[in-house]
Amino acid sequence: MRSKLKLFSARLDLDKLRLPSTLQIKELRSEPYIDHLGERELRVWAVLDESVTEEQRTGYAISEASAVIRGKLRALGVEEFVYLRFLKRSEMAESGIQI
Amino acid sequence: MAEPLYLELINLAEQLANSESKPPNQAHLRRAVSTAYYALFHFLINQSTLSLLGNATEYEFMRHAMSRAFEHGEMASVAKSFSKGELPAAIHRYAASVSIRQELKDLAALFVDAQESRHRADYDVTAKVHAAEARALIDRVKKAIKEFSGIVAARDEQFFLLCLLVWNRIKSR
Repeated sequence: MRSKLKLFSARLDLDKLRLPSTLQIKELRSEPYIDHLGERELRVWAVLDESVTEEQRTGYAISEASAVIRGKLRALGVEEFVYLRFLKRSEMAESGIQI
Repeated sequence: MAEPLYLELINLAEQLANSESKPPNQAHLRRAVSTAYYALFHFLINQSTLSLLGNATEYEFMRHAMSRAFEHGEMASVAKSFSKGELPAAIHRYAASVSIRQELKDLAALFVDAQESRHRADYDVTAKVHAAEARALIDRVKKAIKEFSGIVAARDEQFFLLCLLVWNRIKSR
């Protein structure tokens, strides 16, 4: 899985992903992840710009961005299920999440 | 007529996520996430039993009996597969003509996301549940329920709903 992770890290160009314009994503970070079913999957952190408001974090925007990112990763050969979380850096710091 | 349970649950999740306490307290947010997952869980079961048995009143007891047979892990396994648009070889042999639409892939991915979020909210005491994340999940579940309610006509969705019940018995045969 690691080689595929490197591959997509190098090729996942945020500018070309056509993500919803209201949901300003500054960065995508990934890590291997074992889910609650005990299966080896992938987790992607979509780091939101601090200016993104709660009104902009709609279910529609999150669903659309998730579908685009998952579709791109599938196209790059990532076979694992991709768990996505959309958080600001400040929220990650608040939660002690280090990426 | 009473509202279906899944609608009551998603309404409750919304109330919990928008509770008066500021900042929203973790207990409310955790219950909101968990309740949103259960809304989706019961919605899919409802759709599946209706799809398989029909909506006749005299079959209601059979739909209720069937609804007890669904399992969280098995449903997640189905949803992972459908979210990727790929079915195991044993199933693909006879379901090769089933093309999985993007809308269904998104619904399946939402189920997996929601189940993982529920697990974190219910059991990981070290994880903080963010209000914006909880509300976005609720919003996504509401949207899915709205979009997929009603008579199931699409073949990929009918097959998905069948698989939710029988996956472990057919995936490797």
